[in-house]
Amino acid sequence: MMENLDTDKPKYIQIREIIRDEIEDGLYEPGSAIPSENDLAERFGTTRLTVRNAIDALVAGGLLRRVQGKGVYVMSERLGEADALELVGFRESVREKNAVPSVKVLSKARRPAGGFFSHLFEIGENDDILAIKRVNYVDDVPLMIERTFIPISLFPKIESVDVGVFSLYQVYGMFGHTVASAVEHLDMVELGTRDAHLLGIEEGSAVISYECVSYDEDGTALEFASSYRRGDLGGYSVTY
Amino acid sequence: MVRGKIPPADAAVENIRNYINVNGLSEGEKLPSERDMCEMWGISRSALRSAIRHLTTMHVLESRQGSGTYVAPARPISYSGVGKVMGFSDNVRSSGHTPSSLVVSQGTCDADAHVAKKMGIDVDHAVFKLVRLRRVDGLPCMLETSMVNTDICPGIGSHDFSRESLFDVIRDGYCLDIAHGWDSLSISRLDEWEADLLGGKPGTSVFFQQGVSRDSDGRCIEYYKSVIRPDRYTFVSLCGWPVDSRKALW
Repeated sequence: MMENLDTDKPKYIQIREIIRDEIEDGLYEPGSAIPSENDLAERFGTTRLTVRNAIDALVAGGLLRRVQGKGVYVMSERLGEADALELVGFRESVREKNAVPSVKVLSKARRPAGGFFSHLFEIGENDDILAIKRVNYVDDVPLMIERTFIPISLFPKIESVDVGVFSLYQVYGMFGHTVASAVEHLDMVELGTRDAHLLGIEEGSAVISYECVSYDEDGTALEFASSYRRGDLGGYSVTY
Repeated sequence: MVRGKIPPADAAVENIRNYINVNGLSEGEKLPSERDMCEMWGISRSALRSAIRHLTTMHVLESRQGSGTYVAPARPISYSGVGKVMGFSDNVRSSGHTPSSLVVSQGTCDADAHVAKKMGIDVDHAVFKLVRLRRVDGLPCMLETSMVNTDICPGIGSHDFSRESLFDVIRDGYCLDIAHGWDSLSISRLDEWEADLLGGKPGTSVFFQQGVSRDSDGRCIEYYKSVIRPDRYTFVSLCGWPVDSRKALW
């Protein structure tokens, strides 16, 4: 149903205030998209241009973020904190160098923790964890497979977040668990058929493997990430 | 979101790793028979075998023909991000192993274009070239080539590097602090000469590490490149140190 706006105030200002209120009221979660410009234009009985004007001010203010080809996402005051700590681990150093990275989410599923993750996260074996499998591309070339496991008890609303848009470190910060430290193991493994195919390399090819556990300030484990990176496209490097 | 089961391939890998952790198995200790593991965790023989294969390539397990599956030998760890640069010998010793070095060759030579560029010196500038086979408990682990800037370390060729550590000589003999530099790690394959010295087959995948060390004034002290056996050495990065050291391994 169309909402009526006052006639004595510019429409874009009123729409801007309504969206701001709705974000503050928690109607849209941090990390999730607000309705499309078309939907908002219809709702307020106005044009897309007016809606865009309204949104632009919120984007400029940092409350929203426009992501090319995907939509407009709600940010959080906490988002910036993820960058406060310079995490210069193996994987981060790889990311920095890559100019045009893109991410494809292959799967995202809820599953029981089981023994291994129950010990790592100090949760019950039957508690749920979120398992995400993504492929990172650089200039359309598959570079890295990344599997991430996250205890849902720490992030009850994480399933609504688009992990193709936000880095998980940003997401943890949004939900009040800023990453404070991380331990990464670097190794070399030979890939089986499926993963080798995903990276476009021969079965049995060696790749660099990173296993990383990230912790917040209290030392609580936030995620376990296991990545396979093609070794023929350059590896980890650090400058000090 | 639907709650799924643990995928069988993952369940097998996770169960084995958890079994090692919970039972505190250390290197050389034997895992239960394949039949017992399948029964214990309710997984198929094929899922278990592919998990063992995967964990073997990750150097967690070691299969011995006709005898069973064992926990693989613990490898020395090279730590980065701990605030100080450590050499190979320090890394090996702090992991409870004994380092040793065999000098394959040493002498002064002219820097070729590649090395000159990396070190930021003129082509044909004299450098001290040292090739060492680094060993852990007597077993070949790393073949390292170091090119040292003789302007900063004059007379370095007079040291006996089968007995002295290059790292110590640079630090203590020339009072140089490795303050800056770069270090990179990727994958290479052994050529015949490397395979012969490291005791592997030509074509085997190995770590390839290279980098440049600079002193506090930014002068290039050395360029190094190493091929490293992944079954004998590994790398850990600690970010946001201090991390609870008990959590550094899982």
